[in-house]
Amino acid sequence: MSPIIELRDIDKKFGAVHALKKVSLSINKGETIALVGENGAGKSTLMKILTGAYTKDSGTILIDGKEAFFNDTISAKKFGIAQVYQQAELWPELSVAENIFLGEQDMSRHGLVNWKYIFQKAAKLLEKYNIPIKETAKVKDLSVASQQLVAIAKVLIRNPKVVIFDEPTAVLSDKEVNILFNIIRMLKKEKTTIIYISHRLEEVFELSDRIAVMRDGAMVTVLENQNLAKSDLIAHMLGRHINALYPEKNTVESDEVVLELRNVSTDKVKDISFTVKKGEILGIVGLVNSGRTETARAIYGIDRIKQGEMLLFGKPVNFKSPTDAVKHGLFLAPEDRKKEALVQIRPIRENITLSNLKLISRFGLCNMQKEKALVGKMMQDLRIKADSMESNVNTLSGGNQQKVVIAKAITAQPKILIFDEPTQGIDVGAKSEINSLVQRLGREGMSIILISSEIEEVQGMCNRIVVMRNGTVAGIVESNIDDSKHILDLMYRSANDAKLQQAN
Amino acid sequence: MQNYNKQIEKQSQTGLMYIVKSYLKTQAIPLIVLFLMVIISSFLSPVFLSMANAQNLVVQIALSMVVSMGMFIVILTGGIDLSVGSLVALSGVLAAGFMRTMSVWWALLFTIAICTFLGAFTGLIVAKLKIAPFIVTLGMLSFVSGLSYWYTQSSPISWRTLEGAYVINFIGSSKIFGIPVLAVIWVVMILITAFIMRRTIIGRIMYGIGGNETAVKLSGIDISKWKIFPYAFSGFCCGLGGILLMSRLGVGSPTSGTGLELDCIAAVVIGGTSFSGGIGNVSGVVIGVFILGIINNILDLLNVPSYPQLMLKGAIIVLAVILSTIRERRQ
Ligand SMILES: Nc1ncnc2c1ncn2[C@@H]1O[C@H](COP(=O)(O)OP(=O)(O)OP(=O)(O)O)[C@@H](O)[C@H]1O
Ligand SMILES: [Mg+2]
Repeated sequence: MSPIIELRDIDKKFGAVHALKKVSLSINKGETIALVGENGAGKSTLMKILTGAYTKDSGTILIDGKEAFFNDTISAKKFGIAQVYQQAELWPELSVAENIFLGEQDMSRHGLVNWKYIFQKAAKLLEKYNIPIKETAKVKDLSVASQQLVAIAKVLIRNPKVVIFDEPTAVLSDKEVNILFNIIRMLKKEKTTIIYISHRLEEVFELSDRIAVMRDGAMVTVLENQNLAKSDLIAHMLGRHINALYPEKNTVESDEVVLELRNVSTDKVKDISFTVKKGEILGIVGLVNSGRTETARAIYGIDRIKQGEMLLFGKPVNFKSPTDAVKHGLFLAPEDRKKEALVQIRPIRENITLSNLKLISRFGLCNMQKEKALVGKMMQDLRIKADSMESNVNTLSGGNQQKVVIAKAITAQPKILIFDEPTQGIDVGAKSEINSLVQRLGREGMSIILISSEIEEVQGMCNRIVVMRNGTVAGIVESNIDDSKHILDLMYRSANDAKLQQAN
Repeated sequence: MQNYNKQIEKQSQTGLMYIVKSYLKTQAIPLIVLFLMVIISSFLSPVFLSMANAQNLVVQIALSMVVSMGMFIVILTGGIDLSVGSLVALSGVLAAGFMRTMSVWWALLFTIAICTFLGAFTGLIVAKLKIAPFIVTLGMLSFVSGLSYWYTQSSPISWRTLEGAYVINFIGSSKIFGIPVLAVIWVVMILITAFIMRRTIIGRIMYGIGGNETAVKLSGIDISKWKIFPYAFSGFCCGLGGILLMSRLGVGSPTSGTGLELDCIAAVVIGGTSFSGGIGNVSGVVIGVFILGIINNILDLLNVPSYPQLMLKGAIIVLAVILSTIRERRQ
C-alpha cells in the first residue's frame, strides 16, 4: 500500500513553545489511524499544519508522493483533506441544509441559489449516513451533539479523500457516538482515509487500524492495533504507568442534606426531585438533551424555575441569576468552555481568579502577588501546560483549556459545585489526577454534582447516580448495587417509549 | 513535576520582559505610524519640533485625551458612546453657569457629578434594559444637547466672579514647571485609567465583559451592575473634559464639542482597541490620541483652511479605522 500522506520532520514553534519536534508520520490510503497523546502533545497542531490552518516552520508534506505546499486551508481542501472541528462554526439562524452547503461551489448556478436542489441533496446525504436530523431544522434549535453531526455532514458533502476527526466525541453521548461510528465505518468501506484523535481509548481500539502516539511534541511510536493492552498504550502515551483511573470513593458522608430539589420544573425540564448531601459526589447521567445541563441551569439560576421548589440547607431559595446562586455558595463549571466558561482572549491567570475576585483583592485592588501564587499552585496541581500564566487561554491545547475551567471552579471555593462534563478532552493521566482531586474536595466537605455522558465515569466517581431521560428523572441508582446495564436501561427506555407512543 | 516548577519560576522572572514584548507586539503598527508622522511633520513644517509647538500640541489634545479614556472603556466592553460631544458642551455651560451662583470648586464638582450621573443613566438603560448602546447614546446626545441650548438660551455664557476667572485661568492657561496644567491633568487621567484597568477588579471585569460576557456572568458577577461603569466613567471624563475646554475657550458654549465622538472613537480604534470588545489597552489609546492630535496640528501649521481640513481628517480617520479593522480580522 502506498502512503497517501507523508509527513516528514515537521517542526513548529509558538514563541518559546516547541509544539512539534521533527514529527514524521506516514498514512496509508484507506486506513484509519488514531492519534493519541497527553494534553498539549501537539496532536491538534499537527493536524492544523496538515490542513493548512497553521504553517510549519520546517519539514515536508507529501501527498500521493508529491510535495504539497499548504499556506491556507483552501489548497488542502482541494486535495480532499477535510477536518471536522471540535467546536464547529455553524450559522445558527440558518437551516441544516443551508449550513451544509454554505461555501460550496455548486450551491448556486448563474448566481442564483437552487434551493430545491440543495434541500434534496442535503436530505439524501443525511439519509445515506443515517443522521437523524431534518434538513429543514434550524441549527440553533439543535443540541450541541446534533450540531456536531451537521458539521460532519458539511465535511462529507465534499466527498473528501481524507477526513480528520479531532475529538469528535467529547460532547457526544452514546447515542450520537453510535451514529458517528456508523458514519466512520461507512467511510472506511468507501476507502476514505481517516485520522482520528481522541482521549477515549476504547474508541481508539474499536475504530483504528494503527495508533500513533505523541508525547511532548514528538512522535513516540506507531503501533498496530492488535493485541494491544490498554495499560501499555497508556504507558506509551504518558511515559509512565498510572494508578487506577478512579480513586477509591469516599464512604464517610454526613446525612446533612445541603440541596434538595422538589418537583422542580422549568421550560426545559419537568418534575426533577433529588437530594445532595454534604461531601457527596452525586452523578447525573443521561443522553445528550435528556435535561442534564438544563437541570444544572435551573439550579444555578440561569433558567427560571416555574414549578416546584429548591431547598438550600433546608431553606427554600429562588435564584434570579447566577450571581444569586454564587452568593449562596454554588458554582457551575459549564459544559461549553468556549462560549460559557472562559474568556478566551485573556490570560490563564485572570480566567482562574475570575470566579473569586474577593480572594485576590482588598477594597477592589488586586493583590498580584497573592494571585500569582494561587494561580501558580493551581497550574501545578492540575498540570496545566502553558508557556506561562500570562498566556491567553486560546493558545492552550483543548485539554489544557478544560483544566483551566476546573481550576477556575475550584478557586471559587463553593459549598456546592456543579461540574458539567468536567473531563471532556482531558487525557487519561490527568483524568486520574483530577478524579482524585474531586474526591479530596468531597472529603473536605464540598458537595459535588457531576454531570457526565460517560457512565463509567459516574460509576467510578459517585455512590448515587441520577439518571435522566426526556427532561425528567428516570431513576436514582446506587452505583455500588446497580450495574451499568440497569443505568443504560433507564437512559434508553425513552427511545422505546417514544416509539410506542408513535405507534399508538 | 520538576518541569512545572521551573515553568512557574520562569514566569515571574520574565514578567517585565513579557509585558514589554507583548506590548511592542500589539502596539507595533500604531507606534510606527506615530513615529513616521513625527518625522514627516518635522519635514513639512520647521516649527513642528519647536518647544512652543510641543506645548501647543499637548494643550490641544487635552480634551480628546481625557474623553478618549472613557470612550476606551466603553468600546472595550463592546459598546459605543455617541453622546460625549454633547456632554462636553453641557459640562462647559453648566460649569460657567454654576459659577455665577456658587463657589468655583462646588460648581466644578457639581458639573462633573451631573455628567457622571447622566453617563450612569445611559449605562443603566444599556445594562438593565439591554438596549443597543448606539441607540441609547444617540438619544442621550440629542437630550443633552437640547439641555445645553435651553440652559444657555443658545448663546455662550461666561462666569462673572473674580474667583472663577482666577481658577479657570489657572486650569486653562498656566504652567507648572513649564508644563501646562492641562497636560498635567490629562497625564493624571491616563494614570488613573491605567490603574483602574490594570490593578483593580473593575479592570478585570471590564476586560472580561468585553471578551466573553456570558463567562463573566456565569462566574457570578452581576453584569447588569458592572456594565453601568463604562458609561458613568465616560460621563465623568466628559465632565472633566468640558471644564478643560471651557477654560481654554473662556466661555461655556452649547456648540462646543460637536464631532468629538468621531475623534475619540478613531483614537481608541487606531490605538488597537477592538470593536468587538476585550482587546486593547490605555497606552494604545494614548498613541491613538497623539496620532490624531499631530494630524490636526500639522494641518494647522500648514495653514490648511478649516473645511478641507475637516474633509481630510474625516478621510484619514475612516482609513485608519478600516486598516485596524482589517488587521483585527486577520488575527
Ligand atoms: N496558537 C497557539 N499559540 C501558542 N501556542 C500554541 C498555539 N496552539 C497550540 N499551542 C501550544 O502547542 C502545544 C500543542 O498544542 P495542541 O493543541 O497541538 O495539543 P493537543 O495534543 O491537541 O492537546 P489536547 O489533547 O489537549 O487537545 C501546546 O503546548 C499549546 O499550548
Ligand atoms: Mg487538541
